[in-house]
Amino acid sequence: MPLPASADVTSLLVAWSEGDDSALAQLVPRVYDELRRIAHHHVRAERPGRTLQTTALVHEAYLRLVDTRRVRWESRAHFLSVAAQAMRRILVDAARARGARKRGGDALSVPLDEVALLAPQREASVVALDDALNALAEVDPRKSRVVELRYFGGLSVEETAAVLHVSPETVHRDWRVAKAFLLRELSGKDTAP
Amino acid sequence: MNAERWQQIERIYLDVVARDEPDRAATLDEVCAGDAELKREVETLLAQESRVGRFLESRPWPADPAPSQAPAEDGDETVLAPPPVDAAGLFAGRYRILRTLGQGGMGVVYQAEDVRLKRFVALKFLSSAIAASPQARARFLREAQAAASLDDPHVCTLYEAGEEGGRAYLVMAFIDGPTLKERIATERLPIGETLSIARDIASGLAAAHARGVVHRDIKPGNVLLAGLRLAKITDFGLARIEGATRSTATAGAAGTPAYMSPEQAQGLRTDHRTDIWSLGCVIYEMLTGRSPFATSSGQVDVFALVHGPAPGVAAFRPEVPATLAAVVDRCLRTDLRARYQTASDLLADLERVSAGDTPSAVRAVREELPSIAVLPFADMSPERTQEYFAEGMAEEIIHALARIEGLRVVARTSSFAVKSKGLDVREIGRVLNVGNVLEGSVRVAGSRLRITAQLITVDDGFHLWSERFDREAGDVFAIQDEITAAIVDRLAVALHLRERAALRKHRPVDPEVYALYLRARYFQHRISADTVERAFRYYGEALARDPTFAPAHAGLAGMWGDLAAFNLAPPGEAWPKAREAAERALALDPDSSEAHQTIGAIALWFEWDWTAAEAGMTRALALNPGDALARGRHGWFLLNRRRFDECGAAVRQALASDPLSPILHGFAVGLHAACGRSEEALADFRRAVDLAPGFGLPYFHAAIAHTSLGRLDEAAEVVEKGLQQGLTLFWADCILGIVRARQGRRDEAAAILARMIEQHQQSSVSCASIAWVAANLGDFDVAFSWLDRGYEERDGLMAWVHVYTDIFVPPLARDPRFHALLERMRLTDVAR
Repeated sequence: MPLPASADVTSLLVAWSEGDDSALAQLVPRVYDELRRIAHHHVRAERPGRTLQTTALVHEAYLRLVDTRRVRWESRAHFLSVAAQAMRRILVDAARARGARKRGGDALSVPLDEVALLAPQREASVVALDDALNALAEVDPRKSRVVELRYFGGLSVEETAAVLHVSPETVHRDWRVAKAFLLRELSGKDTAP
Repeated sequence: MNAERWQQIERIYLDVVARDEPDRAATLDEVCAGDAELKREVETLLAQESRVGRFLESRPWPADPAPSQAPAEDGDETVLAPPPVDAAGLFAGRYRILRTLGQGGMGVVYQAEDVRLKRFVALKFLSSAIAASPQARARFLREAQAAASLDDPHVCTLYEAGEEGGRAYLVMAFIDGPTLKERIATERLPIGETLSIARDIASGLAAAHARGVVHRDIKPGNVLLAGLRLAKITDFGLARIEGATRSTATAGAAGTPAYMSPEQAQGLRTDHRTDIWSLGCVIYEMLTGRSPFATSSGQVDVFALVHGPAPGVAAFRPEVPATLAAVVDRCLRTDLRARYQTASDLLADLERVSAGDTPSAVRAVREELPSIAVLPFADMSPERTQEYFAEGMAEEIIHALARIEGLRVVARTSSFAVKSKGLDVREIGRVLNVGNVLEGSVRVAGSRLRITAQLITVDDGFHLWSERFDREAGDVFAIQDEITAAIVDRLAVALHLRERAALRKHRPVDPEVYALYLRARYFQHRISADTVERAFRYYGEALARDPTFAPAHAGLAGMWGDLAAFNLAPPGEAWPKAREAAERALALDPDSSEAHQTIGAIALWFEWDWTAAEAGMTRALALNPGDALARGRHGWFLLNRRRFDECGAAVRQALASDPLSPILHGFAVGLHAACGRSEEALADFRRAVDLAPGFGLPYFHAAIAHTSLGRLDEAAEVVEKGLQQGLTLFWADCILGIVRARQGRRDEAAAILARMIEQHQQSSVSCASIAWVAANLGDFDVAFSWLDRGYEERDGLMAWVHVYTDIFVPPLARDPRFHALLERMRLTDVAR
């Protein structure tokens, strides 16, 4: 388990912003852990009936992990990008765990309360969506990322455009085409989420 | 399927999906040209059409209910339970609970009667955790003692703190009035009321900070409005008491409060400057109705909060005086050292703004914001025929940069004016008050384009960046984008998201259309009887080649507007043409600031639709905050509304970004004179004459300033001088007629009046000005017949008939017929 010190994440983020791609591989798991930790905390401490919001989770993770005095505003885009990947994995893992538990297995050690909180009603569809996104990434990686950022990261069109360095119009178009692609992939396999 | 195949599928899908249903099948057959596999791929995508809209639009988990507002946010049930009372119905032996005043994060507040002292109080119950823990209890009492030591008219007095039945409570003065939160729930506040409330809060904070008490939770819900404007801060010290019992780890995801300072959000050490930040947020919200860091979904954008900057208030309410905007901006500095250091400093600046003086924050902004002047590029083409193109490059870059709030850009007129003066970079920096200069050159040879650009720091002549582009003519936009990107990068300008997007918003356009457009602009900027025709011709040619090129429609609209406003074309014909072109531009590009500005000008000068005038002008300024001329025109709108302070601020701000513009100096003289700031008008007049002695307009307005100071001889003298310097005869006649009549030289005045009437037809002498001269000669009947005519003929001066009649002939304004005129013009709301 790497040290959760915020300085580490900050350095990794800076390194990645400056083009060190190996930093990304270390960043995602840390953000993943932190997001899960915050979510877990909320499950225990929070008021009943209140549900979590992606954006709020990601913002809180940013405040906790990153020393904002050491990074430039541009790090926002990089962090959001990492957080969206981490969120996707959390949701897919939670959905898988729930599915496994239903079938009597417990292959993934995701705590029950967290699964209950995070897993959508139809967990199979998130797993299928994940597969469909992988298929999309094979032929059109940018569209796959648009979906990851918008759906799993909770980013607005403008934020997505800023992260990917494209115009908002392009994001709109990608989003629409990507959804048609994914729906087609999912049809016949499982119902859409 | 590989990536290439997929791109082909996507292209066809997008093409087909953009068409109406009946055409789709035919189009698909045509483009697939017998490739059955390709067709099947596209069809299966099209088959998803009905589900695409809603797919993935909800969050991965059930939607979140609206944050906060839930009673007792900390989920402490005991806070909600009714207070324990004795047999006499009294709480703590002396308080009779009357009704619930409100519930918030801190708990429930009741109005109660203190039966011992016979007065109303507010009784507040806090979390049960305080009573339960000895440490929390000690802290509660310590904080309550500090809060109780505050005795200030703008702080809600704390009478008592105690525990009863395991429940901690506070007794405070009862204020019979709404909270600021309630006051701003339905509308944005007028500037004056905002200032008054802000001063009260700052004053209360200054008193508290002086005693070492920091509030830490300044927000509209904690400000009570007693009486019309008297504001009082409540709940001092509570944030700390409650904070101790609440897990701070949960604060973030529970919905970060909109008023939290960056240091609070990050869990860093806070001091009194956190209150200054929060007050900045409150002022911001009073003015704009929104939190400075709100996202479109109503959440707080934590990234923007900790990295800054907040978008300026002017982005959401352009008529906020620049002075006040600078004060808010200085409260909202992420860097603690750049913020106001004390609440008294902030209070002093708020008082300066209220008095119409320049606050210290304005000087700070001027020093802090990166600034630039873009000089016209030099024409290096073999025949020197590309001056229009060289100027056009610079103008487009200025236009792109002026949209960025974090950068101060000198407007076109002033940047171009220094070029002919042969100044060196250092002198240019001083004259235009900027830190950096961009200069460059253009060489066009056939379809090849060579552009050079250098970004220079004026202090030391250091080249921050320089580049040479050898490209095809069609690459001109890409080159402009690269230059603006380099400037933004090298000057380390902080950009908002929408600004980033706007900087990339370029549609492809035929280089020839673009060249025609730049030629048209070149002549438009030199507007005169000779150049008008050429400008029209080039716009016409550009639009003939590409009728969808929005900037040409917008430019055409602006030109018709200028012709109408300067009386170079009959207003009755020119304004409708301006409207037609502006509407075309907006249909093609709803974000054309130039077209919005023209629509606003038409509404003000010609249609007398004040609401539409404000809408068009503020939209134009929101889209392009650095457009000095648009800001100057907005000044004329504010004059119509008699918002004299804002009017002065608008024209001063316009002059600051375009310090060498003769037109804006003319506006400044006119607006200050009409607002009664005669001395400031005359100071600007002296500068206007230095700048462009041959420009007539300022003489007219300077004469008005002299007239309202009662200096009739000086007024006549200025008019005479103006006549030698290009002041049009009918403007001169208007003021001279009034002056002569007042001097008792009635024959001369009558002769002037006769001449004005005679020339009214052929040279569109203003009907209103004829009326003012006639009225000064005592003939109100004639005056009213000309005012009626002015109404019928849509005389441009009529939009300010209420303001100028007060200056030129106050008795006329008291005639019942005048009131009837104002009613027709929908001006009674701003009449005296």
